[in-house]
Amino acid sequence: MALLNLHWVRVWVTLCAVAVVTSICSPPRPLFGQAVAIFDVSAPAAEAQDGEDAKRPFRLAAQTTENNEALADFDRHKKRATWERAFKALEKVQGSKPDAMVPRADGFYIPSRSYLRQLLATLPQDGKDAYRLFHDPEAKKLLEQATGKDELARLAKLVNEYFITSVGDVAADRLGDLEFERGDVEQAAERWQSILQYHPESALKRAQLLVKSGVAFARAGRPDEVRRVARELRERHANETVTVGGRKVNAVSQISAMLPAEGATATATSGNKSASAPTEEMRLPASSEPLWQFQILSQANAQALASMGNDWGWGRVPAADAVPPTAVDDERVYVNFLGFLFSLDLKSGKLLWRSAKFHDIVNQLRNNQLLMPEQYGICLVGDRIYTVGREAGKVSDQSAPFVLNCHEKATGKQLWSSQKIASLKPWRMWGAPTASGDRVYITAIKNQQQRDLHLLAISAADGKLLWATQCGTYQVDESQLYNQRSSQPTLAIDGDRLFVDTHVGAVVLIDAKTGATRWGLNYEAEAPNTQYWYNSPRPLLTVGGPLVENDVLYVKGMRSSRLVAVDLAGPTLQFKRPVGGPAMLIGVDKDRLFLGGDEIAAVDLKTQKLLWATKVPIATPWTRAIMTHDRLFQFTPRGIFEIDKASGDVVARHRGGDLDSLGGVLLLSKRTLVTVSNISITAYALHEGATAASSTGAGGAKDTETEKKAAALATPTGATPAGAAGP
Amino acid sequence: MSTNRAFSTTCTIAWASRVAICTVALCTAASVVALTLPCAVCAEERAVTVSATGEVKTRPTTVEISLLATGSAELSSDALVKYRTSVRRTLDAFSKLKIENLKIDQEDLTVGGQGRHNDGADYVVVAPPGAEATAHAPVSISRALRLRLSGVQDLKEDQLIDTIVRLVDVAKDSGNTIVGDGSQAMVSFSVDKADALRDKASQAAFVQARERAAKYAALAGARLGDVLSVEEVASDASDVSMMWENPYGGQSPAYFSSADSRKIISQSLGEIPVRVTLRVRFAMLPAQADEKK
Repeated sequence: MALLNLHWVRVWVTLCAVAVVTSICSPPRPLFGQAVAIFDVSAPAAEAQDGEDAKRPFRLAAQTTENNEALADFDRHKKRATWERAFKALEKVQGSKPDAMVPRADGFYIPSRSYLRQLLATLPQDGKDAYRLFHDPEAKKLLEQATGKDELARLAKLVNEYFITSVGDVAADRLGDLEFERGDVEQAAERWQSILQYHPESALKRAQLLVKSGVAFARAGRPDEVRRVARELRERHANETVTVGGRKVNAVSQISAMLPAEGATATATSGNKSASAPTEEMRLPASSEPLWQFQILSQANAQALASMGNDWGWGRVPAADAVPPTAVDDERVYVNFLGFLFSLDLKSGKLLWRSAKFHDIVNQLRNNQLLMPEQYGICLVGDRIYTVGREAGKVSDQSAPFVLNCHEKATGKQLWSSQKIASLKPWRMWGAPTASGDRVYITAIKNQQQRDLHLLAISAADGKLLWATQCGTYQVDESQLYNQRSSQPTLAIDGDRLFVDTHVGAVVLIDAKTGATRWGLNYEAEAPNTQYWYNSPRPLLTVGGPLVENDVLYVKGMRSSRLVAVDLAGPTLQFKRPVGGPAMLIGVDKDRLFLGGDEIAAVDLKTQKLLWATKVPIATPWTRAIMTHDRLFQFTPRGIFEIDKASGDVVARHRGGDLDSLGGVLLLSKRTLVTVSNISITAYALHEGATAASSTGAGGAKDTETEKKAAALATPTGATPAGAAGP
Repeated sequence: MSTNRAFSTTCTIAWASRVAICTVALCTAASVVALTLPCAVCAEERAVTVSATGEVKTRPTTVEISLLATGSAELSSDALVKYRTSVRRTLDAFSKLKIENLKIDQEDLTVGGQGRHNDGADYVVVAPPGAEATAHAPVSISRALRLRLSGVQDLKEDQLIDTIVRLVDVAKDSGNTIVGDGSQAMVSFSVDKADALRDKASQAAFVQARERAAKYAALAGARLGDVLSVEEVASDASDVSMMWENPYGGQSPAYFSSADSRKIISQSLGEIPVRVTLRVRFAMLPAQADEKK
């Protein structure tokens, strides 16, 4: 009997083990009633992704579970064609916060309102008919009431809430006209595009809508979109006429006039979109003799800094090989060395001004292992510089927040500081600043909420906070990373579109004017490893991008081994491909994308194939290459390498006068090449005509355009891109 | 019936035990004879054994630098592109130097996973946790490229140093890992065709051994007879600052019996000693006077 019992116990245990193993090994299945994720806006991926989101190193600001459930209810009722219940479920979502994000099945997170619009626009015809039956009266009433001072608000409400009603297209068209007149050209273009996309049965003339949106895109400085619109007009509406300014004109010829010259396009479009966009042509100087050299750290101090972490068992501390954020214009070099600001004359290297002495900096750093040199930044706009850092006297104070300061470029005089402005005081700056127009944009975290990342828009003139938008939440408190670089978010501006790459698995598009989130996307990335052991090796983490070219966004996060390309017209994922973990974005041209890091590489944009890869010596992750029309340049510990973009061959090496350093960043200004390393700043005279396009002929106009736009860019170290730091 | 069976069993046991006793006795006797016989012979033989080292110094004939050209990526096709471009560029870069007698040997190709890769800096490229076990595991294609600059014994030292520096510069610029970069030496100096030198060293060692043995024999009141045995003794590599190349890659102070694969390598530029140590056993014959008696 006992043996029999033992037998059954064995069988039972075996069955349990098999069940456990099966449950572990089999792929997770959706629970009963849960939405199944397919590429269809009508199937919200919210619940299916909840589990995955919890594991992500960065979670986007998604909407509540309650809303996700409501969307799942909608989906269920839609399948049964019980429309009244389906639309009732949507009302919950319509009433939620407008910036709450909904995950689409393809991985994109979009604002709930956009999501709803797409959701309704893709309903089957009987669903649309039912929706119009329920909501047409209210929508028509709103349209009638949309006059006078309430016109804009009522039209916006109609478009946001009842877009697919029979009058939604008319309302969107009128709203677009109003927004265009107000100068909100991006928004206007989007209204007209949404009619084309989501109101295919609209009675409005398609060619007219295309021309309107094309003009708006041209005004918004988005030539790639203008080109796309022109292409569509040529292919589908070649002989149609539209009414512009009361007169009838050919649609194609009208939009063709808006197209930028082909030659000028490359410079103009990439100038403001790629952090390291093609600059003027450049050849390395023939002589290694520098014009001048400014030693930031003596060799002894550099060595002391390098060995400092050994006393604590950390190994080499990140500050030891950090390259200070630097910017150049036509007259000066500006450096933010761990919060100590100084300016050098570009011609002579003479020190023009400094915020404080830093001769004893190494002693000050001895007690601070949470130095975070990656969180220092600088950018130039007009006659001002904007810097991020701890205050000079508090460099060794771990609790001191990173603040944003505005200085006069010529004198270094501080004009304002975020610490002294009430609306900015609660914020700890977390990333390099970037400026556009009259605004400075910067990512930040709040005191006591150090995992929530926000994007701030600040008035450049007086430091007033204009808006703050939450991007999402870090899984790990990055302000507590001792042994490795924390994730420094980087920004790129393209017209009114502001892209934030968190570098830890998420990229977000935010409207630069209003702060509204347009979409977000998670990409594969590793959370920083907080399990530290003494003298553990540090991973090579490089920071570059994001880049925008031909209306495609390219992202390669510092903690990711994936290159992600997003077609911004959708947004849709254009491609995703593995690249080396230490790879970083350098730039993109018409056909190829260039990666830097320990290998310089070119990827074909059509086939996504690796064209070539060239190994270069690397000793600091702060290195950043620059790209010209036919060359790539990287400052290495063995000098500056000049690489042919077509073949990847090293065509020249310039040993230069900073061979004791670890290499670093290259900056270009008016026939002067500036190298910034961990220990010094060195200037070299370029050949006469080396920066040929910089001041003469037709190139002059292009450069002005480039400079204007490039000044609005953020770069990984906070430095402005080569040759683009002018006022 | 049972009594007969018991008797038969008893007889069998008695017979077996006798056989066993006899066998043991025979074996013991044979062992005693075997052990004592050589001793007896030894006791009768008079011999002297000496060790001697012969040394011949020579200038290195070849300079060697080993590089590891690697292409590593998650996609095998990427790894192949990286590997091919790395090899091609490295070969091109050295060929552009137009140095006479410079030869680059491409050694065996290795294809494998990549755990971590030292970049010559403080950093390592670490595969993501668990990557080794997943489809994300990087593929690494690598080949050792061995640069051999021969005929360097005819170059002046300054000329040789200049050439070496040019080679090292190109090697470092190529971004490839220089094998042995972590140690003191990234360049090694070797003597090719060392057999002739070893022969000379052996001759010197033998002459030295004979002289020394003759002295001992004279001290013993005897004279030196025939050579009974010669044994080559492995030299301690650290003693002579040289090592034998491991033909399976890498360098280790190991010795290999194949004379063809032997090559003497030094990490420093200077005269390289080629040493051979012999242990020689000579017979000792009675002195002339004893023979007359």
